[in-house]
Amino acid sequence: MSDIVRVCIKKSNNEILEMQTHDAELGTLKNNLVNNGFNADELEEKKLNPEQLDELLALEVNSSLRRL
Amino acid sequence: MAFATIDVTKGITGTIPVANGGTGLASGTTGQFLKFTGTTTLASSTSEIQSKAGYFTYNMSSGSNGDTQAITGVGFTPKAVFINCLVNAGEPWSVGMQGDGTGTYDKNSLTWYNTANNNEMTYNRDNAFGLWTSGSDILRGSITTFGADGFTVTYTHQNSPSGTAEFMYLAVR
Repeated sequence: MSDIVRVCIKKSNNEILEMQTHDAELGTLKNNLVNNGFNADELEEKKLNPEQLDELLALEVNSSLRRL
Repeated sequence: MAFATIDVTKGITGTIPVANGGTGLASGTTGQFLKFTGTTTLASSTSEIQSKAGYFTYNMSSGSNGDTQAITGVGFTPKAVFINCLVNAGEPWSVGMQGDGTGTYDKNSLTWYNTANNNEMTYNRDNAFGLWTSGSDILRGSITTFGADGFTVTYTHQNSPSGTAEFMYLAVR
């Protein structure tokens, strides 16, 4: 996997709503979700290194994205 | 006899040396290659073939029919995208491919029905992927735009597909 992933999370519970690899300019993921009906205020997009991603995946709300 | 400089363009026969490895180029671009831009002219050029593998997710449960998703970070305009995708729960999966057009003959896919649908395989000539998550709940999709840094996927929800779809893609040009 790429060293950097971009995620867009729901701020209220840190659920990963969208994830993409590669170090592209921030904003794409949030725009995708806003275009599909989400409120921009409830979203946060950020770039994560593998360790930071692991912290998010450790949350139960993101368990379906964990690797065994 | 005293040493004197000689103008190599005058008074001699043979091939005149060309600077910088015979290219005559004053500079180049890191990572690029030499390419003929005319019958005798060399210049720096990107490779004719580029590829990028990547990953993205789409939350079907919170999504709806007609959703679009821009995938960026590819670094070039793809001429074709190979896509495989899955859902961790229920184990549906799909493999498909789409060329750089958006018409009927630019894409097709093979879809594995999940265990709730008798472990069968089907094909789809109108979409680059399909995920049959349960009953008659299906997510289908195809690429509707190819851009300078990636592509845009448009999703079709049949009834209520659920879960998070995970995609691996290989984009090439």
